Amino acid sequence: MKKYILYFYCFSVVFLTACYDDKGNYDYKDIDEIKISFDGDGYYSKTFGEVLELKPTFNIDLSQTPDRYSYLWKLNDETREGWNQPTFRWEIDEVVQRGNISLEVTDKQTGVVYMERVTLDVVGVYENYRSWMILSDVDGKSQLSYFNMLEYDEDVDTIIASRLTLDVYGMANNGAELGSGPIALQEHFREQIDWNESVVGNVCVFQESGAVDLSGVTFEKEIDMAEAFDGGVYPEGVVLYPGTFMDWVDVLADQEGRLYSRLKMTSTVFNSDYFLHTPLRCENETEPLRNCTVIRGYYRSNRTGYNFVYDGENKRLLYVTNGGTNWDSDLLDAGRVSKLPACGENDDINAIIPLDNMEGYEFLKGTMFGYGYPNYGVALLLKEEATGKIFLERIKFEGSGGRPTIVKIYKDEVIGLPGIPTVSTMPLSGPEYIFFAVGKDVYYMDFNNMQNPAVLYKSFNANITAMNAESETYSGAHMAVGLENGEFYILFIYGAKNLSEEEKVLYPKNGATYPEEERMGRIVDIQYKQLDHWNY
Amino acid sequence: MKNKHIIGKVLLGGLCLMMLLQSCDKQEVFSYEADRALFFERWEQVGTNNIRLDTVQYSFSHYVGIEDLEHRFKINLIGNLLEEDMAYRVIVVDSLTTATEDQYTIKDPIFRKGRSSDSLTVVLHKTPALKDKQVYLTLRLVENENFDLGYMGYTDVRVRFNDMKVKPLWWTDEVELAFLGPYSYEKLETIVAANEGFTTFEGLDITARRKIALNTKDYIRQHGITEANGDAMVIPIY
Repeated sequence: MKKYILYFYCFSVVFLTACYDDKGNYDYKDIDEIKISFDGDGYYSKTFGEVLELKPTFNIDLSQTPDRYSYLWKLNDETREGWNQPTFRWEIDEVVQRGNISLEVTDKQTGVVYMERVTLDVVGVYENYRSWMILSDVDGKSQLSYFNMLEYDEDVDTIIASRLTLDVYGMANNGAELGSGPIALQEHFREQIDWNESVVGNVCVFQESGAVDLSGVTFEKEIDMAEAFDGGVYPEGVVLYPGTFMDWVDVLADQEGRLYSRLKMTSTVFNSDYFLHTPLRCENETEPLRNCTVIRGYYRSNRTGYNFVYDGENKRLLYVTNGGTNWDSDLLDAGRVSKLPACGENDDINAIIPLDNMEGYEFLKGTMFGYGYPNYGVALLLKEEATGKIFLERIKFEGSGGRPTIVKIYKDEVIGLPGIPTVSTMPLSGPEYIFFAVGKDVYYMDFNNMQNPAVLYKSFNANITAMNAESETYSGAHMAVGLENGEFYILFIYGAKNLSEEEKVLYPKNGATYPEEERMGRIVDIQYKQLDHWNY
Repeated sequence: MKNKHIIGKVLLGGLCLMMLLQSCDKQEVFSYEADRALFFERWEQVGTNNIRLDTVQYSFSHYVGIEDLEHRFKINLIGNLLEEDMAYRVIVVDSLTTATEDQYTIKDPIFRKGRSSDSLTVVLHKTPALKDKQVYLTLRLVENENFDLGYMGYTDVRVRFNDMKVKPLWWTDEVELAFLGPYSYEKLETIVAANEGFTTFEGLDITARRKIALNTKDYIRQHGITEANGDAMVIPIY
């Protein structure tokens, strides 16, 4: 009996479903689907402190029925008070790496939410591409300033927006003074702790009052370089000059060209371990080196593995080795100073100035360059003492890991200059020109036509005291020029020989009078701020 | 059927009784006042490495001009701190010892008051016999009226020592490659001569190591020192 009752219930449930009345509406009609668009390619790169304004466009005019729609803007899925307007305006107050700004438009009538997003990078205030650091002497005191291109139009090579900030050190250090007797700037790097880490190089300021090392992110002082010496003091009477900061060894010069070094326990820290008071010697020699100039190279030392040094006492070219080439000890050969041969196998010794004996020539300037990993070079500007002639000797090397091999040496006379160049510079990678400053004028030589005389490129109203070509991009399109009167210029140098006069000066706007408030004493040194440099 | 119910009730009753009785059981509470125990420290963390402390090795050859070497084994206390110094007992394990009595002295094993750890000091004496062979000395903590034994396996310590010209343990591959070059006894003597008070590279930072190596390099250069076979004595540091 119970069985029959169970069957009855089951059938009742099945049959009752037939009585269900579906009151759904199946008369579909289209609603107005909203498509949101933004100007450009959906990617925005901004600097901390700037204002980001976004004005979306819609495929239909939403303003006709303003009450029907609501808006919500989000940065990385988080909104803020006031971010509920059709347009977006944000005075940027945080650094963002590959973040996104999204807009959600809600149709209150249908409840449908439409969304679109753009990608956003916000860099720190001192982390822009195409920026330079400027060291100047203001009544004997050191001043560090910073120029950055906030917006640059690559299609027409024009600076859309830029900012020159005077005395960034004072701003970053509660008005403290940087020091006195400015000498030079040097950006230096450390290894990443992991591959995702973006390292911004520290900035070492060399000055007679004592070198200081600053954070490259904030320009806040990290240490007095005296603290990096054994015992926390410089060797007696020493004033530090730039050198080379490599992964496993750092080498700095003093006012007499002696070289001091520190070996490092780790390559991932800017300042670890201590410089010894004992100056470096050349390998297998007994006397410490003197009168040396470390030829500043921008290449990361874990790629080159060495840095060139001109030994003015013995008139020869040397190189100092980084280390990091042995599995069991990264310190093997770190700080070894080695001689180079007179020339390479392919060179005619009579056609070049021998690298191991440059007797009869005065060293004016040395610059490191590269032409595709692992090919590097050094350009020596030398004056023949007997004749006063100026020669440019370019030595191309091959090899990294601390073993440079000479590929070819090119010796060319520099003709057409009205005097001895006081400053010279050239783009870092694959340079086609070298630029010289003689008095108030900038000249260039075209590496493709070295037999031609130097060409006057630009004249200024005061003596040129510093020049620095951009080292970030392959084209190295820009060069900064600093003058004795504190004026600062950005020149466009890519394809220099083909540029019209109007195309050469990018900052200040060509033809504009230099703003009085932007003078910064006597400019001593300018360095392109490379940020993390992957320029090998 | 009826029997089954009776057995079940009896078992249930027994279980309840056991649970009730358990609450009457008095368990002795361990008190640190009751006992004190000692044990030797076995490991020490130095940087990322664990250094073994209960087995050490010395060669008098690494300590030029030194006749006696003192080593302290760390010993830890379990229990309340002492209110007065107390003696503990250490014996020489004959079956695990080859050193003769004239080659060592064990200082009074006293654990000092107010401390959670102290040290057992052993003085090793240089004797002519050590020139040719290595000996070892094994010491063992044993109970006495003041102290029990702490953890199992933490009661023995051992010191191996000799006066043979052997490569120090701190002369690692990195020390050889970057600082001092290949080991030789003559080089070790030169390092000691060039650096007053030098005993070991262990625990020194890079700057201190580099100074020692560079001092040695200068000393070799100034004194024209070579290896025993006349080869150049190489110090690779720069």
